[in-house]
Parts: sequence; structure tokens; C-alpha cells
Amino acid sequence: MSIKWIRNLSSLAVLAIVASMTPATFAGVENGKTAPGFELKNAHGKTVSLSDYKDKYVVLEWVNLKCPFVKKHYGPANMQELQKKYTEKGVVWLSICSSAPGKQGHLSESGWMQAAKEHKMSSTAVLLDEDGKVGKMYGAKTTPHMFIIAPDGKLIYQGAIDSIKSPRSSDISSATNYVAEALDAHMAGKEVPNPMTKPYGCSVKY
Amino acid sequence: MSDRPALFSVAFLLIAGCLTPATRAQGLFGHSPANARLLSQHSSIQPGQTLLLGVLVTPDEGWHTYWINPGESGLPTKIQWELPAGFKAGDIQWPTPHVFEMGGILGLGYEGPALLTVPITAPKQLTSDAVTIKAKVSWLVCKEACIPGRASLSINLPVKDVTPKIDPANETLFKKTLDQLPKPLAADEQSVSIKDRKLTITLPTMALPHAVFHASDESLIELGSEQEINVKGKVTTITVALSMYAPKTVTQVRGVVVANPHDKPPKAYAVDAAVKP
Repeated sequence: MSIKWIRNLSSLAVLAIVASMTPATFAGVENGKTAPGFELKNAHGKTVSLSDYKDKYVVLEWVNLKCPFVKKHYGPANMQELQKKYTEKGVVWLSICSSAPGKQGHLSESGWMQAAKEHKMSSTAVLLDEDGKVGKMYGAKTTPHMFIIAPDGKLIYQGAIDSIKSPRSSDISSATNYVAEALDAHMAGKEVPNPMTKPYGCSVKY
Repeated sequence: MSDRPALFSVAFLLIAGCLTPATRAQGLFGHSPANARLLSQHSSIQPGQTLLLGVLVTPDEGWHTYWINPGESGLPTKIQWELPAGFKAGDIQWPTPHVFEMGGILGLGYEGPALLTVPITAPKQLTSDAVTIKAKVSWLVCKEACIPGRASLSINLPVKDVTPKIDPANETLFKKTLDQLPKPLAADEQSVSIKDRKLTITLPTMALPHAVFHASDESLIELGSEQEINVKGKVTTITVALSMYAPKTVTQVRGVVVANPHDKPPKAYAVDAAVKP
């Protein structure tokens, strides 16, 4: 795809509108609004629907195991520990891979079964979004890119995994983990301190 | 991605490392498809004077590194200086970035070599005959994949109490880079206002119908969002919505206005203005 520039020229004033360079397919979601529903296949080939998890906290984690920013959190098991900690509290954790077939991070269903075991992932499910529809609907731009849906179905967090934009695992201990912070705050009936942050990482390989 | 190119690259790195040990890059996860060098515009240091050093980051063909605002993904190149006592480093003078796109996701940075120049000021009293300036440089280089890299660089410069001569080996590169840097706008050549979560940049002395503004703060505006350009006589205004990540209160706006991104190289102007109340 090339970047499109559309200009509208008039004789007196020149009004140029640079058309949105981001494809319109990135719908994005708003905090406080009901998170849009979706159906995706998990690594076992079974269809999983967001509506299966009504009345539960749902974490969406965009993942590409070859991305250095994902490795930052998977290498020292930071992501897996978060998955374990919160799924034990009844949170549904969906790791979504939107890498297109042939692109970095893409794995088949059986590939994901093996990778999830190897990486000791504790997600509720790994979901395959090969055509990128769900990723683009949520506006997932990076791996990782995190979203949290409250039990009432509304989005309460979207953004980065934590506060230090780096590929180094050694930065994790001094960073604020925004996902943990948001879940802990909301579960305690408090306001989410940082409900929206700019995600950092590799681009999603649509 | 297959592991084979990575293994080949590691082998290449080992060989290249023997040839030029001071400048080859190390990736956090193996070889980085970019290398970095530390260069000086002048061949000596004069006490009390400011000299210009540059970190030249060169990605392999087809790869790119990032601007201070990397766009929707990526990371800017970082320089951590280790300076002798009394020396001070200024900010990176970022060359004008290009917009690139990967799978619909936009980035800002450099698809070729980028010389990141930094002014370094020497103390008035310098007793040694020569000084060594060190820099730890880290970057993210991406193509289809992204690979973080880093290098520990150093440069040794003689101390001479005479006006430093330009190092002929680096003259062309520094000149070209400095000529193409965004030109800082004077206070009366720029103004910035924000209304209803929309940012307006006014350039009262230039007609730039094809202008595009990129903010230095990556959270301020969304890369690729609609920018409305209005030119009346010699006055250009650029209006763009603040991004959903923009802070509630914005007091200062920094960035570059690229006159026409299709020009090679594009002319650009550095915006740095307090937001008008």
C-alpha cells in the first residue's frame, strides 16, 4: 500500500487535506464503551466468542513471539506470570495473534499449541486472527498491545503493557505494569489510574 | 522467520567484528542489521568551545531506524554519553524523518544512514592533551521484523587551543546533514494554539500548501490523521486533532513542519512554541 495524499486546491485559499494515511480498517475502540464482540478459533481449532465470557474480566493481549518487545516480557516469564496471577483470580486472558500467514509471528493451530506449551503460557486461550479483522477492529497496532474489558462488557484499559518503552527485560522491575494496575484498581472499585497509554512494540504483522 | 539468516548474520558479525571492533553493532538478540559510528565534525577540541559530534546509524538495505517520535510502533535511537569531567552534551539534532508504512502501521524515521548530531561543550580548563568521549547507542531497526541493537562507541580527540579545523573525512557528511536539518523557526515565525482538542500551528511568513506536521512527542497527534492545511497569502495554518493519548494539558509543542514530503530532500522547519492560552 502506498501512502495517499489527497489535496483539494482552490484559487484563493489553498486548502489541502491530507487524507488519513492510516487505513480506515483500523476502527479502534473507546474506553467506557462496550467492547465489540468477536469470534476466533483457538489453538485447538475451537471457536471462541467474546460473549462466552460475559460477566468476567477479559484481557486481550496482542502477541507475536518473534517480536523483541514480546520476548522482553516472555523471556523472564513476566507475561506468563501475569497470565497465571490473573486467570487464577477468574480473569479471562486471551492472547491474540494477528500475524498474517507468512508474516512474522504467524503460527498454525498446532504450532501455537506447541509454542504455548514451550513458553509455559497461562492464557485462557491463544486466538488466531489470521485475517487481522479483530486486531483492526480493536485498533491493535503493536505487540504487545493490551486491552481490558470489565465484567459489564465495557473497555477499561487500552495501551502498553508497562511504562518503560524498551526491549530490555531488565527494565521490567522498575516499570509500572499498566495491566496489573488497571485490574487491581478496578477490582478494588477504584478508578483506573492510567486508562489509556500509547502502546509500544513491534508493529502488528497484518 | 527462519533462523538461518540469523546464524549467518552472527557469523558475519564475528568476522566483521574482527575487522572493525570499535564500530560494529551488537543486537540484544544477536546481530543487528544496522551499525553505528561516532564521528566528529572537527579534528580537535578547543577549551571552552562547543564541537559537534555525530552518531551515524546505518541500517542495512531495506531496514529503517526511528525518529524521536517513532510513530505507531518502534523506538527512537538513544545516545547515552560518557563524557570527561566538565564536558556537557546537548540534545540530538534529529534529521527530518520520513514516513513509512508496514502492514498499514505507520512509522517515522530513516530508511538510510542518519547522522544524529549532538553539540558537546568542552570546559574552559582542559589540562590533558587529548580526551576520549564515549557514547552508548541503542536503536531499534525494523524491516518486516524489528531487531534492537546497541553499540559502545568512542572517539579520541586532541586538545588544541586553536580554532579547530574541520575533519576533511567527515566534512561532506556533516555539511549535508546540517544543511538538511529542520530550520529552527524564530518566535515570530510560529505560533501554536489548541481548541476543542485540536492543535493549530500557524506559520505567518510562509506559504506551504503541501505541509505536514510531525510532533516530537509521540502521544500528541496520531501519525496519519487528517491535517487540514490552509494557506492565505503568506500565512499557513495546519490543524490536526490531538490523539487520544495526548495529555489533558499541553503547554509546549515541538516538532517539524515538512514543507513537501515528496521533495528530495524535503525542506523542513523546527517548531518549538508555547501553546497560546
